[in-house]
Amino acid sequence: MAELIQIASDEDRDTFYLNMGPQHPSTHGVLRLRLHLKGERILSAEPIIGYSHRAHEKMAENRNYIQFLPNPSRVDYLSGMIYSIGYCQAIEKAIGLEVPERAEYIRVICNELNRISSHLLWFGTFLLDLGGVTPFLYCFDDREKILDLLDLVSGSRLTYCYGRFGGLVNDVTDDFLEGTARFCTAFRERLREYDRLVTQNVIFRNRTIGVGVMRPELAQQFGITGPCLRAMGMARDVRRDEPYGIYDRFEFDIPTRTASDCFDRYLVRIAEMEQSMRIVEQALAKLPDGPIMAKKIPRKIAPAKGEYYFAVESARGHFGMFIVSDGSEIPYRIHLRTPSFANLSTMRTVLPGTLLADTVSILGSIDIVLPEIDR
Amino acid sequence: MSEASGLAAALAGIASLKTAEAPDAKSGCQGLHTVGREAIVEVGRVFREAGYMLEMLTALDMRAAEQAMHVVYQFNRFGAPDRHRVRVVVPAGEAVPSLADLFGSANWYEREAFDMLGVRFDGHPYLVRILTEEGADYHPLLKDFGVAPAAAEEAAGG
Amino acid sequence: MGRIKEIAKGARSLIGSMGVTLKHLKDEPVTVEYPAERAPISPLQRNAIRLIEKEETPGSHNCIACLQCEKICPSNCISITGYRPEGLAMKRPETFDLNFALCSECGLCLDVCPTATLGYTKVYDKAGYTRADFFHDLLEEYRETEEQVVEHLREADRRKKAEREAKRKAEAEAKAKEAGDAQ
Repeated sequence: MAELIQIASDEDRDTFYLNMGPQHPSTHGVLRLRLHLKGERILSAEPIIGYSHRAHEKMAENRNYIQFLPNPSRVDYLSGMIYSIGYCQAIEKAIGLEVPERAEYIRVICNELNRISSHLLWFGTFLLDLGGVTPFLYCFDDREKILDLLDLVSGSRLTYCYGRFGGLVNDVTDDFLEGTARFCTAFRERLREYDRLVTQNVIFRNRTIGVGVMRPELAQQFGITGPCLRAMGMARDVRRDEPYGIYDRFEFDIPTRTASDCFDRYLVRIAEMEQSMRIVEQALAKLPDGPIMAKKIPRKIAPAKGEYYFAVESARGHFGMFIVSDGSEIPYRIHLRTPSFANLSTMRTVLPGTLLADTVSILGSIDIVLPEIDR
Repeated sequence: MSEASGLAAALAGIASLKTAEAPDAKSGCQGLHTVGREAIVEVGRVFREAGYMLEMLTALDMRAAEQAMHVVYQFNRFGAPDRHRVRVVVPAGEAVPSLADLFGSANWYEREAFDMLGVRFDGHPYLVRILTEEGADYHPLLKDFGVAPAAAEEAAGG
Repeated sequence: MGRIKEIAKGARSLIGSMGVTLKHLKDEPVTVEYPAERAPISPLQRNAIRLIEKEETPGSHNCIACLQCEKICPSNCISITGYRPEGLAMKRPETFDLNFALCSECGLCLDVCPTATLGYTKVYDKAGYTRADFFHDLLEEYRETEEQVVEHLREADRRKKAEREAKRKAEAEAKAKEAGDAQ
């Protein structure tokens, strides 16, 4: 405890170092921030990461492509479905494997449900960071319904291993399809309620509007992606820019805002949930019959010698997989380019000059998931 | 389109830069380049001025085949992808100039590459480990960094 | 004046939020009193694996100790030793252990099982004090009946072999007859 707060020098008793985290409830996992403060104002901030490093990239080099299947969903446990299916799509593209239509549609439904659940958890915890406990409970109620739905098809609630090279493990049931349709209807009403509960709330507005503005030039400098980028006014989304799977068949908007403060990042995510629902509803309407696994799946999954890059849009931004193959069944190297890593590294520039209390809302608003940063 | 051709012209001006034949769609890249390490800062500047971001930076341990490390930079622009993968081949144990002055993201990416594969970056403001523990004497993603078999781990209580 | 406006705005937002809360007061509870009550679980939910009991012959399973699941398991949590009972075409497992502490419930072992013998248990809340609590002996429930089952399989094998022999004999005879007819 003695080292928690450190006075920098005797002459200047106002300046001191404060260690925030790694077990601070608003650092969303195990992030440590070393803050240099003058009074309440931040002079410099250094995020210190690595507390939940699990060496996923090293694991990849010690098992074959199939055995790496359970890992991606554990990299980012909040949008595990997107990661898990994204990894399958990356390998399918590398070995040129076609996926049946029905599987593609189910993948989209599951991905978008997962995106909503991830945003809901973010929404709840963000409000919790700012002191609002009630929305958290509502969000978790809704999120629970999504987890139940995904549990119905994949058998897991959080760390899905649902995708397989060439398709999916299980087909969807009628329960799932009806449940999803029901959820979409109910959730529209819930979103309106959230708007009344949170968006109009004076305390929330005061704590987010104009707080944590990211200057537009930071986007290029740091490679910011995802909702943070869209809150800067750039309508960039991997699903639109380089469509993977069958995302080019759906109509959806890319919500953007321009002020790039915490409030805008909040609005972008709320609007994104609405768009995800649009995609889910379209996919449900068009869901074709047929098999969910490709007919001819090679016994050995071994991409030809070379380097492959595949990107998907996770709930937090551009998730890229850089796969180096030496032609064998075991990857030579898999590098995971995770969105929060780049987004969090902006904190060194964004935080200085803000107030200590705003650190919590700024950190919350960029939606970091530490296991995804540390990998 | 003029932006892209401007970029191509600027890249052609760099003597040690070699551009490979148009890569196939599987690679996920629109341009593959190799460049000498002395010119990487120049390459970074060209991409930065063209409005590209440093999307990814990592290194590959190619010591077994070529006695060298590969540092892989990936630049991309916002919007429709125009991904350029630039590779710097560096003899094992030698340093590469840092891009941290050009791209904010390079700061952490280079720290990660140093931490995981031991590649040093000249001119980096704060090249310390980022993911593994402080003061460790290993670089886990090097090929000669072994993995304890599960049984041994179990016996050790890990 | 500005202050009054602010207070009015605050009050309005407060009332709006409270309205939402009040509206939900009449809702049914969405939680259950665990562990007295339990929420229904998905029929596909992944838990520890088990060997599925064969319907036609109770007390037996179909495992042929091919070690496919052991090989594919990313976390090395399955260990099997097989043996070949005398007079049996297929192997049988002598031990089939699962170290559930390492399992990540990816379901790859179910995918590769050629006889579809692996399934999931329904126990999702297992807790223990030591790691040994998570070593599952999957053959535990089958050990008593194993001898009977092997005897049964041997019988089945013998029958099959006899059938094959008979068939071959019949074919040979038919051929001989055909040849005789041709002459």
